[in-house]
Amino acid sequence: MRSHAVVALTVVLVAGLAWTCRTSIEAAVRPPKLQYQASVLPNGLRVILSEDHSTPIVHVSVWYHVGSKNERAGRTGFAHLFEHMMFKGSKNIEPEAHTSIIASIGGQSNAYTTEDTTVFWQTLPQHYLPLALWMEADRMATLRVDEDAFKREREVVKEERRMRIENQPYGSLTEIIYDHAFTTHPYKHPTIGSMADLEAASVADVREFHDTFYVPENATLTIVGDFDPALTLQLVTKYFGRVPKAARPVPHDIPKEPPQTKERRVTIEESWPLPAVVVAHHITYDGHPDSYPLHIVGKVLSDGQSARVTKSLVYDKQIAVSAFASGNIEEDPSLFYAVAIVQPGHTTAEVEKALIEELDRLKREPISARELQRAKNQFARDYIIGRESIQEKGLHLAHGAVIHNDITTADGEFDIFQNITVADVQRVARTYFTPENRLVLVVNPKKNGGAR
Amino acid sequence: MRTGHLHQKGHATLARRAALALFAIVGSFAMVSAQAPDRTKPPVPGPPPALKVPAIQKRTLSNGLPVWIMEAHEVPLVQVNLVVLAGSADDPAGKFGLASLTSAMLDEGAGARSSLEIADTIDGLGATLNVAGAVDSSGVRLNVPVGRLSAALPIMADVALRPTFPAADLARVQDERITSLLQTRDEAASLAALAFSRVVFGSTHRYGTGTMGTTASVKALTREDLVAFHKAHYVPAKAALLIIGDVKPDTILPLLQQHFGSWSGKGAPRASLPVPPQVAKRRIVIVDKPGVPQSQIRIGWVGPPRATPDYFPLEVMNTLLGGAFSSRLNNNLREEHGYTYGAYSMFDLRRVAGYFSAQAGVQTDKTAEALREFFNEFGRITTLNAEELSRTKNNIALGYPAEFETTTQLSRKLEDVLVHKLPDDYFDRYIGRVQGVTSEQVQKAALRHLDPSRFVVVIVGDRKKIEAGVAALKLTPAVEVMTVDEVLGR
Repeated sequence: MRSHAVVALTVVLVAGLAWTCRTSIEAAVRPPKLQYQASVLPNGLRVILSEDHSTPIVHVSVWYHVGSKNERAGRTGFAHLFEHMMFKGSKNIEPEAHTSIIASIGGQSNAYTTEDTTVFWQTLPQHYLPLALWMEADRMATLRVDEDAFKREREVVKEERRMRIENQPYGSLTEIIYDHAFTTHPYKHPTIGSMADLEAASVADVREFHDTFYVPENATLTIVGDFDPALTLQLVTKYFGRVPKAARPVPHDIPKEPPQTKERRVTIEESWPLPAVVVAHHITYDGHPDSYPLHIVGKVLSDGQSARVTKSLVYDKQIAVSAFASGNIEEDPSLFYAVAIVQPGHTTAEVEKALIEELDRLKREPISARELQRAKNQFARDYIIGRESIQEKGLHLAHGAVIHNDITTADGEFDIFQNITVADVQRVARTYFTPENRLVLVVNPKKNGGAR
Repeated sequence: MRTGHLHQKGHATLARRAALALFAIVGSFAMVSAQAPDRTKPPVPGPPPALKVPAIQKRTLSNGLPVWIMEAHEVPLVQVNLVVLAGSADDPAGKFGLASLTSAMLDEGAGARSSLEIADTIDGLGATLNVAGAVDSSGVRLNVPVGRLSAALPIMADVALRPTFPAADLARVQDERITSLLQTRDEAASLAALAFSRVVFGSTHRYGTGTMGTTASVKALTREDLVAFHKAHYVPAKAALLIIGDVKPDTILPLLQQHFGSWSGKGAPRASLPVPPQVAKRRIVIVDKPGVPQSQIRIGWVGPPRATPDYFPLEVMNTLLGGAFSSRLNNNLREEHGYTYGAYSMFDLRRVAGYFSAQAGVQTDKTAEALREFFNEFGRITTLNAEELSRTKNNIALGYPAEFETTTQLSRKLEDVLVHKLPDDYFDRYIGRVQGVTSEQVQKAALRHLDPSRFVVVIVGDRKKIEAGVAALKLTPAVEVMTVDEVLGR
């Protein structure tokens, strides 16, 4: 306890030193605003163009506003499995040719699926931009669906599940947390899905999914890099303009999670080397005014070694091997969770108490002005680094457009964060970190189990 | 949380802390678009744009410390890397893990600040300060908004030059490393990598043990060991400062002189690591992990040093074989057979030798089939046509500019030039040298650097389920078994 006080005092002194030069440098910390133009084609495709001539490359992404939360019961994992099928050829492109063509011109391409979106992207030498547009439009309009290719790809996805989730200590922790925290909303199930549901998926499902969700009005095309916007918009119109509108409106009817009214406590066993403790709370959606202070809370608790959770559990008390806390801020209300891996010789009860104490402290007393400023500086750092590469710029623009339905947030959030007060942080802690809104999950190692 | 098509990083790793040409082209298409668009054929590209890497501006501080500066003014950031030319290859016998532990301890107390004070001040500035320990080099890397550079530099200098290695923090970090090694027992992919190194290089050569060392060697390291390693290797004569970002040499040099200019010390000459002997004959080794859902396969042997004259042919050959998603190995094992989420190969080229390794995590019940396909691909590596060669070279050469986008990327490229003593015009000549590789050079490089009849095969998997199938391939007279303790021990 004594050394604690000494540390705190020194921190104030150090802070004082660092702070003396703050006013003169603050101006230099904000990055230049993103320059872009946004438009919508007659078929509903949203198009975002942003020039950056610093490197002779261009990044092209297509976001489809469909993710694992759009899956129906019995088909978990399908959005992601479908993402793989988008590489199995279209009318004018052979199966798997998309990736090899991009590779053969020195480009990189990939795709990923989240709970909310499915994103296809490529970064390539600027003179090949027309090729990327041609290929993306071709698979949006004319995907091939082949039974054998589908079955083979299903095996690849099952192997992906084994690699990421099952053959990885703590790999399934996130899916265990969400399974216990949710009752109704599809965030309950993991994006990778279950083996049984993957096995049950059929080629008919693939066709229906493409017809329903892979339509221009559900897509956002973002191009960032070294190109001429006027000429590029003509090219976009040429290749994507002919993709027909969907026959019916895109469904976005996702069941809501009812409010949790009493604490949930769960204890399970997994074949992991050390016990884990999770304290999770339901929070609001991405873009809600409370989501920004919650992001700051995550930084105060666990961005950097001197952040509260890390400092308290790993350094001071030395009861955890590692610990973190952060909000998983998504399109629909999701979770803020704190996790700690228990240091051998200590108990899960000690660790649970310490995690809850850190959350309670945020409710009891405001964070210090210095902690708030540090979190804002860390946010500014993330923000600037997030504007270095064209891929990151594209990500922020598309995220604003698709998730917030407001592209201006790609830049506007900088000011929202810089204006957050300590009172905002205390208010959101009091709103969400209540016992009745909480899940406490304890995962013990299996006795004699596991693959030792 | 994201689930990807290729190889994205996992989402919850808890235990670890991580036109002119265009105008012409588009113009002609814009004219075509007035007529009926033709969707059946790919658009034809124009000539590739030129790569313009900022010049390396070389300066020297008064104590002889080299400073290399690359200006990049797109965002108000600066990256400052202090690179020390010593790494785990310089670990003394019996003290494996010393270089790695020394670098990890740099920011656990330095100058007048404690571990948490360093972290708190750096976090407060919105900066990132990393300490890094690799095989051939170590270092401290600072990334900071340019306006806060003058506040962050003194801390960086303390961390690199004046670490205090407090006893309590050293004990904590040693415990963390021992726990981490314990966790490795359950991480099939990490275990496979360590087992592969152990079989290829043996337990006495430095390369046969992970950079962190073993539980026993980590436990045995003392504060005196760290102080001695730091004194011997962290000296201006064996280091350089790399600066990349929104700065000008004239403004940053006085700052660097102030914080690094009086650094002194002669250090010790660099000991030369023995060149590891090549694998004598093919071996198959199973590390038994009952119940694991996948087999992790690693195949390979000792590779050439980074200075090999075959560097460019090797780069092309490996990209053809398994360096990219569309390479032969992944095409075979993933796309044709669905055995794996991804199959790859790589050369890890170091100052002294290195290794070649091909790898995949495969379905348990397809382990033997996957192994057979690996060897099928090795067997046909010298068969290639002009079209495939050109596609492969374009993959590397046309993709090169994208590796120079961010200050962090630029700094890593510069570190390579420094550590491996590459020529100043290396970046400018790179694309031409890749494009100049012939199929004869690729074939010769393959014959010289790959001999599947002498490759080591390591499989971390469920022995009961895989051994019979693997043995039936008759790749070797017998299948050996290695315990986890043998992989991680000594």
